[in-house]
Amino acid sequence: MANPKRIPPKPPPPVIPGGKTRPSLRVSLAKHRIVAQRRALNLRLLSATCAFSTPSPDPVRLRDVELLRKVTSERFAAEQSLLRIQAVRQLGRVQSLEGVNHLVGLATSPVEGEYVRAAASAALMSVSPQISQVVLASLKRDRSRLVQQTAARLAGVGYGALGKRPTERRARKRRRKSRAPAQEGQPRRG
Amino acid sequence: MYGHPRGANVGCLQWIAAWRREPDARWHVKMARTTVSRRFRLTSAAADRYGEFDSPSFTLVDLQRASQSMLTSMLGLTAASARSLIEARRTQSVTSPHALADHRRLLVELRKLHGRVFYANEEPLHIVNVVPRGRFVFSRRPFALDVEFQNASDARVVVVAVTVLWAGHPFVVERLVSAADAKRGRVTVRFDRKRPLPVGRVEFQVALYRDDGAESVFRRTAYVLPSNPLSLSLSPAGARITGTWSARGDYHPESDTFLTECEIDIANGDAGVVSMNRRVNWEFWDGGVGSGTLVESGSFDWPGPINVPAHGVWRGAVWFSSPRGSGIFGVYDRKEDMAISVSMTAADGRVVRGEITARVMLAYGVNIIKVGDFGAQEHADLYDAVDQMRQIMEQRDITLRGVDRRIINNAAAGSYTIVNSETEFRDLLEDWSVPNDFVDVYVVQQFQWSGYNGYAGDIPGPASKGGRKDGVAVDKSGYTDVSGTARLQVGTLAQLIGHEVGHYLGLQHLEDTNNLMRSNTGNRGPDLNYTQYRTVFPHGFMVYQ
Repeated sequence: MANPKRIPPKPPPPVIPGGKTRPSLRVSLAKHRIVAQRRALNLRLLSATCAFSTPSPDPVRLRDVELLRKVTSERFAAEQSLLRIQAVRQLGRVQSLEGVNHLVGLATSPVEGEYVRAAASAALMSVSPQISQVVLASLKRDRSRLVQQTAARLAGVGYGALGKRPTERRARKRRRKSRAPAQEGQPRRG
Repeated sequence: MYGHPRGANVGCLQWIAAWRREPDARWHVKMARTTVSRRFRLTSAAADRYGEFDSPSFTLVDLQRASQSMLTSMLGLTAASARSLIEARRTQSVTSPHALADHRRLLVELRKLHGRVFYANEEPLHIVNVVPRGRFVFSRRPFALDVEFQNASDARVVVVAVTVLWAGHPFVVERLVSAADAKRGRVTVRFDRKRPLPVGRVEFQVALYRDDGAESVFRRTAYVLPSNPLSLSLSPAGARITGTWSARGDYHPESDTFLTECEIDIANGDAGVVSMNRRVNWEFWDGGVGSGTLVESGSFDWPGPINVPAHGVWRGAVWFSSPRGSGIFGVYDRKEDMAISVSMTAADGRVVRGEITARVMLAYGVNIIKVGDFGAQEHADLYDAVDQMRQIMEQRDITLRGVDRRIINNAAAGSYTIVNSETEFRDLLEDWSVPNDFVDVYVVQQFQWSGYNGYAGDIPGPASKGGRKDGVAVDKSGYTDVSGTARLQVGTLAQLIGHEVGHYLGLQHLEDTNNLMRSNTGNRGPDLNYTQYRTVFPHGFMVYQ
């Protein structure tokens, strides 16, 4: 353990030619309200993503559905992938027919990535359990293991009660010591 | 080095004490010196495309309109699949991939192209490329970025915003997009005399907005070239992110030495190659260079010729090895800072010099535990993210003393591949554990729990293993790239692991601009302040040798 009495002093800030700040230059979005709404939505979608933060009670509203659908269709940049999945999850919190249709389309898409499809399946279960049962039944033999696992668990116990099964829990409690994950060899480069 | 008659090497004060105890023993005195144990060339990217994780530049293809040759040559579809698609288009509009449900072979190919094509009912906005005007950015001069884009909608592109990540505080430059620019699919963002950049790495994060709320983003990294026009700068070895740094002194108990790794970057803003002399002069100063005390100095010859490419960067790495008894060892041992200065001379006589602070860093270890299956590229991305996380921490003088690579395979992981509640997270910690004094980091396939993507056992987490609090878990942040390969989003994952490990080491959320501990993944940055550094110092998993 590091000895707190030996904490080194704050290092001097490095000298940056011209100083360490540059002024930002913003434009008014008064004439582009939807752009402002979109930016605010982006921030809301990514807020409280760490489980130590308190989730907003109302992160999205019915009027956000159209923008949410837009976000979920923006699949061309890796930088937007987290935002996209968060938008899929939030669609599962809004009671909207368009939203449900969109989630069904994503969950059953024959070309969509497995992370989005798994998130869409879970979101569908929370917004419309009846429709999701039909969708999940079709996903139990899906080509993606992640989608299969998601579908099996959602279909078995329902969203919100997705704990481990009691038998599994009892088995775990019987175990006295936790197991160590296996060590890996040298990493492979793809 | 001070040699003890029984063979042990001891420091100066210990030597005097031992001499007092055993004045009749036969002593010999030998001064240890720092040597350059390794020096090697590093590969360097072009100055206008300097980042490993930049957005790829490509054009989206409209599946409803693309010709057969476009489908085969641009997208790489087989001729049979291209014919199959064109046949399908004759009978119905390809509004979505569901419309192609009967064309199984085609769908297999389209799955790999999902990030490069769009269907008839889609209206994507897409940034095709971002390039500095004139190709390069020069220090202390205005510059401009050209943003090329595609817009498949009647809604107009209205705003472009560029966030600049550089050695100082991030800043933003926005502009409205004129109707003419929107129509021709190209807009220029200018950075005037109030916003010049210093020599070094810079990252531009470009966002484009349409008036219906659609957004497209693009990341481009560049190396700002010197306008003077030759410069030398020092950074820690392997530096791949923007920011300001110290080099670290790593203690190696097996050889009883401190090792200082340092990268030398020589940037050339001229249109011709610059040849450098092979002699490299180095100095370690206690205090400022020139104003403090010279601890040690030396020089060595680079093993091969040094030619700095035109409008480019030459990179090399040097390892300084300081045994016990050397001046540098003594300063590191006292936990004091030093300044390293390196100078070199061009063949035409120009002298270039760079400096960096060197210090012993606080260190902790991580067990990176993959939960479930990871593809080969996902595996590579994961460890790139861990490397980037180390660099984020090193900007605040905290480093990794080890990365233990572990896996819980799919069969053994069971339902833990997906974390969907706090109970499940804590069950995972209770069921699995690595018996060492590193932080357990579980990288799971997906969080499906209230929109969260990471959690830590406690703030701070325990400094012993066992129980339901001894680790952190993060969503692996997966996506499919434009070539159809399963990838992890390296930048997001690096900050996510750093954030949750930060909690484990005792850090609370802090909503300062660009701070690593912001609760919002969208505006989180790589910064940690000195108070946060002091907070993690006493954690039981921290070592400061």
